Amino acid sequence: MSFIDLSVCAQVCRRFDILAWTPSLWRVITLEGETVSGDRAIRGVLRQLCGQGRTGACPSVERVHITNSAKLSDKSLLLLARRCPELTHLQLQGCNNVTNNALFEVATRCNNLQHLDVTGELKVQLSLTKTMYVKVCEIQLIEDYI
Amino acid sequence: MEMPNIKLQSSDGETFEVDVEIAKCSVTIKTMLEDLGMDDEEEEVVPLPNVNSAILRKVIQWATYHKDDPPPPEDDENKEKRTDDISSWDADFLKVDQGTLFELILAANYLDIKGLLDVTCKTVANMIKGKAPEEIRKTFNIKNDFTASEEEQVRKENEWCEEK
Repeated sequence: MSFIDLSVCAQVCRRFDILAWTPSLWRVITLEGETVSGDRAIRGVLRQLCGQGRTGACPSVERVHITNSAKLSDKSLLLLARRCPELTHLQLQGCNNVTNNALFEVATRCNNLQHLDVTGELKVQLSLTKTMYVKVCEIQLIEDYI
Repeated sequence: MEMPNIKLQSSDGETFEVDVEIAKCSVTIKTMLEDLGMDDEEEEVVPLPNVNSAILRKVIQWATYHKDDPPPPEDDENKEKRTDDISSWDADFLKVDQGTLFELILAANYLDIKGLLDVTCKTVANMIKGKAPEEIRKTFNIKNDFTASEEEQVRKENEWCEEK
């Protein structure tokens, strides 16, 4: 089920609400399309999974795929960096508002990151991703900035 | 050479004679036979106290049709499961009332028949996908037990998913 179907399920009744937020259903978070607010989605999903506390973590989240310019800013990446220590795959395609700083934060904090795909990121600079590449040397980096 | 048969007994006491190889598509039965060394005992009856005769008949029908299928692939947990790949035979086979469908899921789960569990769950998933909460309640006759304020709260929490 897609994240949209799951979040609709959560609104059916109490039992569905509990079931829809079972962490194992959210190992892969896929957001796509211009109609989706990536920031709101990430914040909403992580709030449900980690609880409202400031220190809550979502170890269940392993892969995040944002494609087709679902609106996403650095705020969400910082949130992911803080809350998702087990993140292994991060794909950000066409997220034009994401900057080096936030990506650097993700690469620094998410020690298990193996795959980082930032295709079509206008604000990400090659030099910095190179630095990051050295820092997290096993990351498989897709460098395609045009 | 003719395959040996095995007898399966449903919860309501009906006995079904089935080809052992077909019965073994149920991991539960396969394990039972192996653990108990019932392999060559032809007259053994395997009791299945969690499956009634109507459902067991359906399960056997499904297993018989799929007996030559390759073993289902292991789940790739990183891939979202497709639900649009139900074969037309299975789709026809699962044109049953909801009660039967859910009993088939329970039976597939108990008997540990992955292929049947997959296809029955996909069928239910397809009944949910693309619907609004109220439509899902109607489909499955679910009572909305949220209070008005809870419902508003839950709606807000999930607002990010709505098309703008």
